Amino acid sequence: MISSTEEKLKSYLMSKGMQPLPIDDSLETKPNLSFQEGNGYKVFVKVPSREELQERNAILNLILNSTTFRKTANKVYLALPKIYASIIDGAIIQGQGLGLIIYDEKIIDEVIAPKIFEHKDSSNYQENLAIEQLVSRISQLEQTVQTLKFEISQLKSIRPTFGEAAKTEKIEKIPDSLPSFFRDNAWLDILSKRGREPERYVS
Amino acid sequence: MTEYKGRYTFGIDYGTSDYKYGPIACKENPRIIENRGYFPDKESVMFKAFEKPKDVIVGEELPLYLQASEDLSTRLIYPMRNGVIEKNDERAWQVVYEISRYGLNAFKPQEKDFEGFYVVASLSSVSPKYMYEKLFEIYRQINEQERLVKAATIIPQPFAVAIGHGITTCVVIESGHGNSQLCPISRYPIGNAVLAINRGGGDANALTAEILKDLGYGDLVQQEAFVRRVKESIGLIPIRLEEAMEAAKKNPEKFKAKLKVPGTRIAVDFQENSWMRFLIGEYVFNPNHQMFQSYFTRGMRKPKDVKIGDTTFRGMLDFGEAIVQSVERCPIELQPHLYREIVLSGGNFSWNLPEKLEGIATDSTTKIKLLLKEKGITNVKVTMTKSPQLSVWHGCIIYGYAVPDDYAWNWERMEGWLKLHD
Repeated sequence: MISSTEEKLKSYLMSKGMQPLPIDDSLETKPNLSFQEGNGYKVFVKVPSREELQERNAILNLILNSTTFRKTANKVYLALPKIYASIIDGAIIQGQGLGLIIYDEKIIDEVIAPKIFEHKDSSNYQENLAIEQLVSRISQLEQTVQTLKFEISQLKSIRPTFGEAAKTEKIEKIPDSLPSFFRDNAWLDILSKRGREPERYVS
Repeated sequence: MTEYKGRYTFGIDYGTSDYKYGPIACKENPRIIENRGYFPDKESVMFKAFEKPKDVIVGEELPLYLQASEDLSTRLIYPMRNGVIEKNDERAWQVVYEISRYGLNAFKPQEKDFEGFYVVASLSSVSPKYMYEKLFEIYRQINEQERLVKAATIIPQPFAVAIGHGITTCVVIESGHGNSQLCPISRYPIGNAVLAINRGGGDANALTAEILKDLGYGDLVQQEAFVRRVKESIGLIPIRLEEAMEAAKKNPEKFKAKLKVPGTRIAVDFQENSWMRFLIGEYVFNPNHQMFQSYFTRGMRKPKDVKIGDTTFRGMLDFGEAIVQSVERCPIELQPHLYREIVLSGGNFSWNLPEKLEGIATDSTTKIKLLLKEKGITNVKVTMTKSPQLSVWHGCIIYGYAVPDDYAWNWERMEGWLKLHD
């Protein structure tokens, strides 16, 4: 029965985007179900058995036991049969930051949303996430700077050159034996500097 | 080294129709042969009887080998017809290999200090990188047979035109038989502003053939050389097409167009249809006039947008719009300077301008200015290259002579010397 209920709860929480996690064996008190949300939050669900519910002060014990999950999980749910909904004081559950899911044969519903408990691990996770985002942004910025540097060097290399050839001195005398189209050709000076120009011209 | 390059710089212009080649010692004029190769039918009895079969024949002797005309289309290969050779077009690359070796061999010096030429080859500005790789590989292969190439480099044809013309910031429009290419230049070719047009002298020939058919000379249009002659002798560029046609219709005598082919009985006379002369010139610069629609409707090939290699050649773009589109891909501060130096090159810009028709007809440079004026661009200077047919080769020679020997080839810059041996 429990197993079937747990399967239904599992499906319900997965439909909310949670991914099932294996139960951590090292935990002193174990939840029945464990999940991770997309943002990295760990979610524990306690599903009491029929026997547990028949004990005296069952609900109070359940709440107290479930609060221990808050050290490990970021969200803790208590899952109870619908008939218990009328006999429990929601304020106590809410006060402890627990969530409440009720179920019967037909429905499963989250009636109290849990609080989020930040842990060191989780904040590490958040920090790591923030660092990763920063690294990614820096990398993007570096790429942008590289692209801009390249484009600037391209623009410099194709800047207007009118009149410049006239200002520079020819590096050597053109032999008379060369064809007539060499005469007064501004390119001779420019081309003779290929590979010897500042980087901005050649990149 | 400058002294060595002063003797052994070698220019090669792989044009769509012609292959121009020769060392710096050729002075102003390189040798010119058709850029084509012939794959003879080696099973032919005549061929076996007289010759040791060759795979491909190139050069001046090629016409002597031509066999049956019906298979010329498959055996006579013009490798650069579109400016681009497909990577796996083995026959075309074989022609390039043979014609390159033929050219270099023709000028092989006997001097003892000869260690190979500094070869500067020029390809269409839309040639993809693999064409550069293939051509370098061809020079390597040639060198394995015989040390003819010490170092090689390849530059785009419009860049060579700008060098040959001596202008360092300009837009070059090179219009050949098959297509036209526009390339802004400011010390370097501005690669991302290159624009290719799928329209050249061949398209004006096609329109001339249609006009000749309409005038009753349909039997002559099969000979492209004749059609080309009519185009060159009779075709005119109008200042404004409608006004030119109207003037010619009113006064056919003033605009009469006749061509008599010397030594033959062939004569063409446009008579009262002399206004059609203006269609030929207009079509080269702007094929979008409604007058041309009837020719397309009747089956004349409409210049289409085609993708060759990685480049889309635009079919119906008029030259004015093409210049604007190309220049507007350049930095804004450079644009006015580019409009101020537009250089036209290639046979497709050589048109007659009879003195008595000035005011109605015009030349290529003025037509380009008028097309740009329509787009609102007025501060424009357009010039024809001093040697439209040879300026690419001139540019190759200057480039080879001037660029330092130790400026190594770089695939990012697409410039420099690729040394084939020490």
